[in-house]
Amino acid sequence: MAFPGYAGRILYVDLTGGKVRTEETPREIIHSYIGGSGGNTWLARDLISARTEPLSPENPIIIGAGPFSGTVVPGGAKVFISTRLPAGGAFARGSGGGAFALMMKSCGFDHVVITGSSPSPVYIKIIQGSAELCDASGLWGCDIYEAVDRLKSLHGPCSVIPIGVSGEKLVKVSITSIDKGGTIGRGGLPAVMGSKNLKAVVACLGSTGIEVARHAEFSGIVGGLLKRMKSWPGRKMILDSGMSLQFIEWWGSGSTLVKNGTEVLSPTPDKIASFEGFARSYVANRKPLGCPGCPMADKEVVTVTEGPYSGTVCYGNNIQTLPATKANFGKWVKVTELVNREGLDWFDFENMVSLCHFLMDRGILTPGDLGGVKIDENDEDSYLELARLTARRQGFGDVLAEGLLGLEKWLDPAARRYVNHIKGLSPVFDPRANYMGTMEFTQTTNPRGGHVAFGGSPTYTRGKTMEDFQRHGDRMGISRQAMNRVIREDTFSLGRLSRYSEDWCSLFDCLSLCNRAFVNRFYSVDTITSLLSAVTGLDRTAEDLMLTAERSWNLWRMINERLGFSREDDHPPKMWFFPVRDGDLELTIKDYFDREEITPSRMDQLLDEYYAERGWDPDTGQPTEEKKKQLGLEGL
Amino acid sequence: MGDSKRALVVNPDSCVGCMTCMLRCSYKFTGTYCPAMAAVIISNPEGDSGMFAVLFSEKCDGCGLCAAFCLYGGITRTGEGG
Repeated sequence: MAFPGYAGRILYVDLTGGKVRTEETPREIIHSYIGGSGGNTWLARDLISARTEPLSPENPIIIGAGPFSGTVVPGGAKVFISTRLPAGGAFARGSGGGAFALMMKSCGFDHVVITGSSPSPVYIKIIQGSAELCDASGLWGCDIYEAVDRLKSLHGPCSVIPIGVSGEKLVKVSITSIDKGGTIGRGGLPAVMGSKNLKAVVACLGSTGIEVARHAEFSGIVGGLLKRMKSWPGRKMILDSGMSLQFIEWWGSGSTLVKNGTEVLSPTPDKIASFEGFARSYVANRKPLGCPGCPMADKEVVTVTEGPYSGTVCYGNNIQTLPATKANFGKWVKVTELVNREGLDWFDFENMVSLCHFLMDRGILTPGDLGGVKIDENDEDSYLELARLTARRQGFGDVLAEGLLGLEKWLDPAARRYVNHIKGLSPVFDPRANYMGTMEFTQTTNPRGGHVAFGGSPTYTRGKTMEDFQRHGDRMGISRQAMNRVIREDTFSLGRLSRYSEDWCSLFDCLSLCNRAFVNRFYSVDTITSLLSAVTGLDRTAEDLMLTAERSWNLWRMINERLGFSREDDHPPKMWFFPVRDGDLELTIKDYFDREEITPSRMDQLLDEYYAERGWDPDTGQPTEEKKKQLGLEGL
Repeated sequence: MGDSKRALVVNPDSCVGCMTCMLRCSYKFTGTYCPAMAAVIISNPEGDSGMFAVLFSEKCDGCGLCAAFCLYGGITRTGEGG
């Protein structure tokens, strides 16, 4: 009998030997790591060593779901995948939406651990209580959308994590999409799958039911959450436009950078009018898609219904800089469709295109260096050609396929300072365009690299008072004692606050809860504690849960210490200290209140404060023995 | 199909495929969240249209739980707005 909230077993697949076995989900995961990314990290503790190369058979792919997935907890549908990624070399955790977690648990599995390498292309079909390795030679060469369509037509109700050609070609700047819609694994998860000859993982609909220990109590809490979520005024915008209007808002407020992050894209009246037309087309041609049990359906399928690209369909919302410069709706959908089908990470791909364009403008790169390919960050055709070349490692695409670290190495040493990355991943938010909040800062401390799945703090938006900070601190499970260290009269320590922002989101990742701001905002640590206690029947405390979230984060950091990561890798990109031109102004990084400039030495101080609050050694940036002992991680 | 089931109205344009109806329905039959055991079935037969088919199996007794818990108006009861 499975523990309430859990499916009950772990599935192990050895691709080299073609063997499948299962084990009971260990109580240590349930009690000390909850599940999801926490369980993944615990399972990885003995599987990742300094010798585990990203594209080696030994590198595990660990898929995990938390106790909220497979139930009706709003936003509780996330699946987590942990592996050592080739783009930056970090052992990473990624998350995605869709029905995979639900399907995996319906087959009886809380986690799946995949190791080895198949001698020929296969896909894993997870079925009730077991899995089968199926021949994928006929799928090899299919793009992501084709692979999903073919596998779904073969297996009926199921969820699919496929790879495109980019994964088969071991492209490091690759990503994939669950059921076409929920992106996961930027930094090269598909390359790890490709190195194992693994075309896809399919989770079928099984017959395992997820039990809830105290259902009346559970229903009351879920009902209260749904009532608040459904009556929230912002919900209509989410359902109408997903996350796309957020990008439009950023652009309109001058927060979009172009030319490798050296200029603000000025929102001139003609561009605003053009972009508003783009937004209208987008909203009119969008059909929302929802993750299981979620009242905030922000995923989507977008279809072009007229013009030369009529009939083109894309999933997801990769609106970044391109539509702000050209605003050609049909062609933008075409670019997004191709990038998604090929399985390229838009953030890193666009960053590299912009960098190469910038270096061409400066005469640092020449057409000969690029093998004659056209690079223009404002031209859709340039993206279309480069996406095809990169996914297939053809021509200059072979350079881009190696990701930002590869491109940096390929460039002349004098040009390397222009490469904008943190541990090999492009930052998603540039603090020069806005300010340095937790979302921007934690991109440097994230063990994975410049990724922004974490946040949930009062610095999301400007104008919060210290009372607001205290209120958010209570919501995020920050003790009053700790908050006294975070808040300093009329300001706050960003470094110290960032630790709690990470822990708060680590908790979400253990539970399978979605971290989107419009889901996160409805949860408090007290709500989560009550909900988890009702699901599992174990009476947990808020302090216990926050300690669990911290334990998971620290173990993640410790695994990356084995791989050689240290404080040196937490430094921000040099480009963050390169001024941004905004008309006649030059912008630099400012703090949340716009009171002080964040210089490299100030950034070092912020890191010191972050490590101090984490209880980590400030020289190495790693958990001290005392911290490990406090978290029960000694000896690991 | 009983009279009570006929009172359920499917609005495919509104369904986002979130499977909440299946989860809620399965709880009634099994005391667990087990969508395979639900009497209401959401499927996605029309590929990239984003449209979902909402079907009911023989064991559906028309209780209306699916409509009561639908978050998007994909299933309503006769007389309710979509």
